[in-house]
Order: sequence, then C-alpha cells, then structure tokens
Amino acid sequence: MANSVKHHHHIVYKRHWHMLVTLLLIVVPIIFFLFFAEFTKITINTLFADIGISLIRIAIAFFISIVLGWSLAVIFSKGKISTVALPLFDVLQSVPTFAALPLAVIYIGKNDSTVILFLVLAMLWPILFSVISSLKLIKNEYQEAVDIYGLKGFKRLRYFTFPASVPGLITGSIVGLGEAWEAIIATEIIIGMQTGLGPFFQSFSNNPKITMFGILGVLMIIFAINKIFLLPLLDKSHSLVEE
Amino acid sequence: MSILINQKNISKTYKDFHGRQFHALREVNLEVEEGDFFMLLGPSGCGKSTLLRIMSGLDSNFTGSQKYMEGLDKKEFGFVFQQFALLPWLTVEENISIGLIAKGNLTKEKKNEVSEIIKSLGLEKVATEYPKELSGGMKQRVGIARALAINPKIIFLDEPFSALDSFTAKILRQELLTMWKEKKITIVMVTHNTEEALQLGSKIGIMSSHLGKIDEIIVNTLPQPRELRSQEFFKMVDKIESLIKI
Repeated sequence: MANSVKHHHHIVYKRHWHMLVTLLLIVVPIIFFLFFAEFTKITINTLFADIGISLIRIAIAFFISIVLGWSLAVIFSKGKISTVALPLFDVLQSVPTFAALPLAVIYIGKNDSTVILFLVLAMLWPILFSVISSLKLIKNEYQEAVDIYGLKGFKRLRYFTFPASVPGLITGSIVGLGEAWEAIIATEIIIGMQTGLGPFFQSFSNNPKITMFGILGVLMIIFAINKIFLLPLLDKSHSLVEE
Repeated sequence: MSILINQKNISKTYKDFHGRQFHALREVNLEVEEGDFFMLLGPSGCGKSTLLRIMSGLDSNFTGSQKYMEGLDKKEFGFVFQQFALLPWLTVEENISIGLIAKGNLTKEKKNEVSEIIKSLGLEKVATEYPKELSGGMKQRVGIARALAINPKIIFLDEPFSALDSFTAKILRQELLTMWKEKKITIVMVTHNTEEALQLGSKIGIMSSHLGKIDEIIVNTLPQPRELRSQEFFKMVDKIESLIKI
C-alpha cells in the first residue's frame, strides 16, 4: 500500500513537473522575443513574421524530406539495388549544393521554392541514412517471422517496416533539423529573400548586440522544439523497439 | 498416413569468412508424415536448424528436391523461434494475430478464435501488453499462440525451450504435447536435448556434429504419457546418445 501511494505521488509530481517545463519552454522564448522587440525597436509583428516564415519554410521542407528520405530508404536499403544506390547516395550527399544556389535563383527564382529545395537538400541525407541504418539493423528473426506469416505490401509497411524505422526517422530528423537551421539563414541571405531570419540578421549585420541576442533567440526556439517534440519522440521510439 | 514434406538429396553449402566452402547439409533424405511429431536431434552446428528453415520455406537456397503434399500451402505453416521473434512494437494480441492480419482474415469469428487461443495459453491478462513486459516463458507462449492462430497444418519449432529455465520449459513441453494430441497438428521441432526429443517426439531424426546428414531415424515406441524416469526411457536415451557422433 505504502509503495503504491509513493508510486502515485511520483507520477503526479512528474506530470506537474513536465507541464511546468513545457510551459516554460513556450513562455520564456515568447517573453524573450517581446523584450527583444522592445530593445531593438522592431515591431513585434515584423519580428514574429520573420521567425514564423522561416519556421514555415523549415516545416514544409521537413515534411518533404521525411516522406522522400523514408521512401528512398525503404526502396533502396535492401537487395541488389542497394549495392548501387547506397554508394551513389553517399557521393550525392557530399555534393556542395550551396555552390548551385546562384544557378537555382536564375532557373527557379528568388522565391520560397528555392529556399525549400535547398533546405530539403540539407535535411534529406541525415534522414535517409539514419532510416537506412535502422532498417539494416532489424533483427533477422523479425524479418523471418513476418516472412513466414506472409506479411506483404502495405501491411508489411504498416506493421513492420514503418515501426522498425521510426527510431532512425526521429534521429535523422533531429540531425536534419539542425542542418536546416544552419542552412536557412544562409540560403535566405544568398537568395535575397525579403522575409525570414536570413534578411533579419542581414539587416542587423552591423549591430553585434542584436545579432548576438537574435542568435540566442533562435537557439531558444531550437531548444524548445527539441525538448517539447523531438527528444520525447526519440525516447518513445527507442522504447518502441525495445525487446 | 500421407507425406506432407518429402526431401530428396538436400544439400547446402556456405562460404565462411575466408571464402572456404562449408557443407551445412549433405544429401539429406527425409519424409515428414501427417500427424508426426518429428524431432531433429543433434549437437550445435550439425545443420538441424538449417534443415528446418529449408523445410519451412524460410531458406530456398539449397540443392536437391523438396516437395510438399498436394494442396499444402505455405500459408498453413507456423514457426516458433528460439528467441521468440515477437515484434516489440505490437501488443501480445497483435503479435498473435499477425498471420491473420497478413491474410486479411481477421474476421469477428477469427478474433474469437484468437481470444480462445489466448485464454488456452493463459495469456488473457497480458493480451494488451508489449513483449518487453513479459517473461521468457510468456514470450514463448505468445510465439506458440501466434503459430496456432493461423490454424496451421504444420508447426516448425527451432529449439523453442532452450532459452527458458527448466521449470518453464517442463510446463511448456507438456502443453505442446497436449496441443499436438488435441489439435492433431504435424510438428517438426529442432532440439539438442535427448530427453526432450524422447519425451515429445513420435520420430527422431539423429544428426551428428559437422556431418550435415541424418544418420538414423528412430520411431519412438515408448508409450504415452512417457515415463521420464523409467528404465525404458533411460535405455532409449543411452541408445540415441551412442548414435550421435560429436
């Protein structure tokens, strides 16, 4: 009885604690940016619009990257095709894509599509290789079990391939999003976008204090996203494949 | 009795790390009849698991001929793995139903059958839990339930009790024997335990170390239920062990 009461209190405490931390992770960055806007004399609308537009670009590119990266990994990770595909992917991921940015501006234009394309090119590879690694590490006995019980096609993807690849998908997403935050500011500046974090930092390039606090703000957003969404997902995905 | 599996001159070679050829099986001839409880007995490395995997269709890379009885479909094969091979992201009930899900056959009637199997194996309290929450014995019960759920003609078992403690293994052996008698399923099981082979098997195929051959097939004439401490039982143990070359 004593044990169960103790256990119960432990759970409630953990829930309150988690709720508090989660709230802080949302509230603190917002308060920070309100003070930041006051300090830099930037209107709050402009500041949040710049952050918001970059976040939307990253979100769209992230969605494309996980769908594309996961699909390519599933198709090319096994069998004879993998002996050709994997070295090819390895070479492609090393291509300095930013060298092609000016060319992309000429052919695609100074628009969101170009930014998203280069974000996808930054995020795709860590996601792809991480999912491939997850799929290659699946225990042979699991494969044999689903083979003998005849799991095929969509059902195989739904009940076997997808759950087995989730840890790789999450790990790849964490690394990929890190790359995306690096890439977005440079891409937006090089392309010459009018909105987003890139033009924001460019417009304050002669003010080290604002630049420093701006970077701190971006770090707070990245930290909050990781802490609220990605790290719990990573924990959950690892417990999912635990035997 | 009709022959369910007929193997002729089955051979299989592997290449080891240094590229040298290694014979896992050499011209094995074997017939499994309907209703058999066929034990493949031998020491580690004798090729018994390889033979089981070929029989079950898991390994198709071999030479020789293997024929299944006309009308026998591989979808009617159940397989119980030594290390359970339960998908960790599925609950016990989902793991048991995986063969039916694959066939698109999870009707209300089938769900009731699955519930019956769950009940008969004492798994109802853990049906919604995940494999990691279960003991080894319970995991293997789930493995057996998964094989039974597809209403199999044959169940292949690859050393199913060797990862379990002796008390749990003893109980599960008895349950497997009861199931074989009641459901009249054909069973092919691999073991390296002579007593286990004699307690369960109606036929015992004896394989010796590193030869990749079945030396002899013994029809187990010991009466059921088998008296594990009888003189006849011990005599048979001695006879079989004298045939195995290590």
